[in-house]
Amino acid sequence: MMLEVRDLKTQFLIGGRTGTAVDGVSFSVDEGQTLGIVGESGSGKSITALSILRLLPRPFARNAGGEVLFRGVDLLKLNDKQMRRYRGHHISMVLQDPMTALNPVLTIGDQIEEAIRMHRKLPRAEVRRLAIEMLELLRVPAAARRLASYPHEFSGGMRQRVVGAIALACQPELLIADEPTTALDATVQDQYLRLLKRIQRDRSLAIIFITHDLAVVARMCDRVAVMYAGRVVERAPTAALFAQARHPYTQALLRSALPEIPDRNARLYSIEGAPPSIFQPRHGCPFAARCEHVMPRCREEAPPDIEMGQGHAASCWLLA
Amino acid sequence: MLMLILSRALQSCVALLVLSVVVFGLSRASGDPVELMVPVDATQEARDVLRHTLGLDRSLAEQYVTFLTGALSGDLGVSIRERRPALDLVFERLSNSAWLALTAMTVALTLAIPLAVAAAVWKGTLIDAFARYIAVLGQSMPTFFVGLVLIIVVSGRWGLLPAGGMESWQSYVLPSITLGWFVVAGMMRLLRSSLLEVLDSEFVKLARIKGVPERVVIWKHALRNALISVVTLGGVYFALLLSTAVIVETVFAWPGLGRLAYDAVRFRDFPVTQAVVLVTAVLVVTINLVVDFLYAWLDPRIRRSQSGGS
Amino acid sequence: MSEAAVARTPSRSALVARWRGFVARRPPWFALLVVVAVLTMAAMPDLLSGHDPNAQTLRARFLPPFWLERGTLVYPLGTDGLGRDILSRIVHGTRVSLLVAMLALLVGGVVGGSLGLISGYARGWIDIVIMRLADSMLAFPMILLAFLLAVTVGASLWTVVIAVALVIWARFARVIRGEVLSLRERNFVKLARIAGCGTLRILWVHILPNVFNTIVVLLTLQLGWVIIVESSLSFLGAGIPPPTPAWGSMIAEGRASLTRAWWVCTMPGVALMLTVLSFNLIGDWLRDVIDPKLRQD
Repeated sequence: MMLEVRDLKTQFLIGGRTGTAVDGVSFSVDEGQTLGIVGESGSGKSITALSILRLLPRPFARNAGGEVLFRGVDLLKLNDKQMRRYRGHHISMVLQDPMTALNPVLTIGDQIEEAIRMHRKLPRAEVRRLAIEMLELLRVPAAARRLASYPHEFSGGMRQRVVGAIALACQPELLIADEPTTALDATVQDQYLRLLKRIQRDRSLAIIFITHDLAVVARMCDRVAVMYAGRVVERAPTAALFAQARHPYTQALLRSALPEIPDRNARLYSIEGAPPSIFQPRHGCPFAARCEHVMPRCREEAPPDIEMGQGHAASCWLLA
Repeated sequence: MLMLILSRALQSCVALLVLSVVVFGLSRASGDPVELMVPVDATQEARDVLRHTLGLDRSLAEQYVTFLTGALSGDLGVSIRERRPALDLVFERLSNSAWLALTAMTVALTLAIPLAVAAAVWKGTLIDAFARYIAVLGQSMPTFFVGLVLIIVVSGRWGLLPAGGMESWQSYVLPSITLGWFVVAGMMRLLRSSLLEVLDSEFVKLARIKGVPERVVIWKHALRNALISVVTLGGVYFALLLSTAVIVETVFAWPGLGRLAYDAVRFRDFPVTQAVVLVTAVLVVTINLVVDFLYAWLDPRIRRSQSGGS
Repeated sequence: MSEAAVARTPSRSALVARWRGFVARRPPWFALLVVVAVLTMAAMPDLLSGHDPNAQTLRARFLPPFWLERGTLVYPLGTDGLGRDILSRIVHGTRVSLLVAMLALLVGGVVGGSLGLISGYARGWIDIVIMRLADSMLAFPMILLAFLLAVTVGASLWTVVIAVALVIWARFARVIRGEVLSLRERNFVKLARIAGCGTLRILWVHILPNVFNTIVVLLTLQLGWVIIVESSLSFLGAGIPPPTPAWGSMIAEGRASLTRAWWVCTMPGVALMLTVLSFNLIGDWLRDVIDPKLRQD
C-alpha cells in the first residue's frame, strides 16, 4: 500500500471545549487508484485530508492518535522539516476554491516555479521549462506567455488548472483533491475531471477524491469511504456501493442524490435532522438520532466494522 | 493604472484648491494684516498707502487670484517676524522635519512589523497579549507626555541624551522614539489583524501544501498581502505623523516645520502660517500619490486593471 | 512553527483558550473604576479637592508629592511654580477636558454620523463628494488646521470643540457609511421600501437603530483619542485660555520646571494617560461584547 491511514483521530479545542472531528478513521490507497471520501459538509472529510498533510488549522486542531503510513513511514511522527519534504513532493493537494487558492500578488509563474524549487535544485531556465510543461500538461493555452500573468487575469476553470499545475509540479505520488470541481460549472468540471483521469493514468498517480457529489464519485473512484460525524461508516468498491449500500446513512445519501423515479411530483428525498456537533459526547452510533432503522442498542454501543467480503464493510448493528 | 493615477492627481489638485481657499479665508478672517505691520501711531494715509501696495483694497476675489498666482510662482509673501520670504523659511525647516519623520518611521516599522508578525503567528500566546497591551498603551499615551517623560528620565535623571535641539545623531534618538511610538501602536494592530486574515486564507494553505517553509510562508506569501491594507492607510498615517510632529518638535525644540508652524501661529505670522499649511498640503498630496503607486505595485489587481476602480 | 502549535499538549492549549476567552469578555474593572472616579471628579470637583485650584501660595512653591522628602499631605501631589495644589488643579481640569471632549465628540459624531448615513443611503455623487471630503480630512494633518482655527478665531470653549470635531467627524462618516451600505441591501430595508416607506422613515426606523450599537462603540473608542487631541491643543497653547486648569495646559506649564520639579507636568500627564487608557480599554471591551465585527479596524 502506498498510503495507509489507521485509526486517525483529530480533535478541536475551541473555548476550552474538546471536539472530535475525525474519530478513528482508517482507509488505504494504492498506486493508480482513486479513493473517494464522501460525506456531508462537517463530516470530517477535509479535516482528514489536512491531518494527512499535517496542515490542521492551529492552534485549535491537533492530532490525537492513529497512524498515517506513507510507504511505511508514519507521517505523524516526522518533525517539521522532514514533513515538509513530503508536502508537494510525495503528497500534494488541490483545494476547493480556485478563486482564493492562488496568491493574488504573485504571478502564476512564481507560484508554480516555487513549488518546483522547493524540492528540486535546478537551474532557473530548467525550472521555467518545467513550469511551462506543467501548464501545458493541464492544457492551459499559451502556457509560456501566461507565466507572467497574475491569478486575477484567469477564469475560474483556468485558475483551477493552475492550482492543479502547482499541485502536480513535483510529480507527487499521491494527490488529495478536496472538492476540486465544486466551484466550477458543469462543462468546466467535466473537462477538469477528464484531465485528472488522464494524468492519473499517465503517471499512475494515487488520488484521494473528497466530494459530496456522488455522480463525481461514480465517475472517478475505484473505491469509496463514506464518512459521517468523523467516522467511516461504510467502505466499498464503487460499483458495490452503488449496487447495494449497506449502511442506512449511505442508503439515505444515495436516495437523496439519485431519485429513483424521475417524476416531477416526487419529492426530493432528504435526510431529516443534522449531524451531531463534534463537541457532543459520544454514545453509540452517531447516526442513531437520524436513522430510520434505529434500535435501542444503537444508542448504547458504537457498532463495530463488519466485513462483508470483497473490500465491502460497514459499521451498523443491522448487519451484526 | 494610468487612469487611476491621473484621476487621483486631478482629485488632489481640487483638494489643494479648496484648501487654498480655506487658508486664504482664514488668514483674511483673522484680522487686518496692515494693523500688524504698521507702527501704532501711523497715520490713516500711511495705512491706506500700505493697504494699496499690498493690494488689500481690492475685492476679495481679486485678492485671492493674486494670492493664488503668487503661490503658484513660489511667492507666498514675506514673514512679518523675520522679514524674509515665507517659503524660504519653510524650505529651511523642511529637511529637518523630513529627517525626523524618516527616522521615526524607521523606528516604527522595525518595531511594528516584527511585533505584528509575532503576535499573529503566535496568536493567543503571551507575545500576542504583550503586543495587544503595547497597542492599547500606545494609543493611550499622548505624544507630548511620552516626550516629556523621556526627557525627564533619559536626559534629566540619567543624563544620557540631549533633551532638545538638533546637534548630533544623539539628538535624533528621543524625538524619533516619541514620534515613532505613536505610529507603532496603530500600525501593529492593523497589520496583526490583516495578517491573521491572510494566514487563514486558501493560498497560504496552498503554499504550505507545496512544502514551503513556514518562514517563507509568513514573510513572502502572507506579509505582502497583509501590507496592502496597511499601505491603503498610509496617507492617514502620514497625516497623523505630521500632526504629531508639530507636538514632538515643540517638545524637543526641533527646528522643523512643525515648530515653525507653532511659532508662526503664536506670533500671528500669517504669510509663514499660510506657507506652512500650503507646503504641508502639497506634501500630503504627493505622499498620497506615492501611496497610490505603492499600493498598485503591491497589488497587481490594481496595477493591471485598465479602468482602475477605487 | 505550525507543528509545534499543533502538537501542543491538551492541558496547555485548553488553558490558553480559556485564558483568551477570559481576556476577551471580562469587564475591565480597573478601567471602569477609573472612569467612575474621573466622572465624579468632573461632576463635583470641589468635593474632592482641598484647595482652590487657582489659589497661589508662594511659600509653598514646588513642593514635591507627599511620598518624597519635603512633601506633605496638605498637597498630596505637590505644588507648581506658583504654589498651586496640583491635585486640586487636576480635579478641576477633569471637568474642562471631559466637557470639551464630550461636546466635541457629540458634534463630530452627529455631523459625521449623519453624513455617513446620508452618504451610505443616497450613494451616487452625494456619496462620492462626502467620502472624498472625509478622505481628504483623514489625509490632512487636521491638528494643524484645528490649531490654526483655534488661534485665529480666538481660544474659547467652542473653538476648541469645533476644532476637535473637525478632526474626528470623518472617522464616524466612514464607518457609519460602511454599515449603512450593507444594511440598505438587507431584506427588511428592501421590504420597507417596497411597502412605500419614505426615505426619512427608513433611515429613522430601520437603519438608525441598527447602526446605534456601532455608534456607541465608536463613541467610546474615540473618546480617548478626542481627549488626546484636546489636550494636545491645550498643550500647544490653543486650548481653553488660562487660568482655567486643563490637563494639557498644566503639562505645558510644567515644562518650564521639568528638571527642577518633574511632578508638575508628570502628575496631570498620568491622570490624562490613565483616563485615556481606561476609555480605550472599555471601548475595546464594549466592541468585543456588542459589535465584534468592528474588530477589524
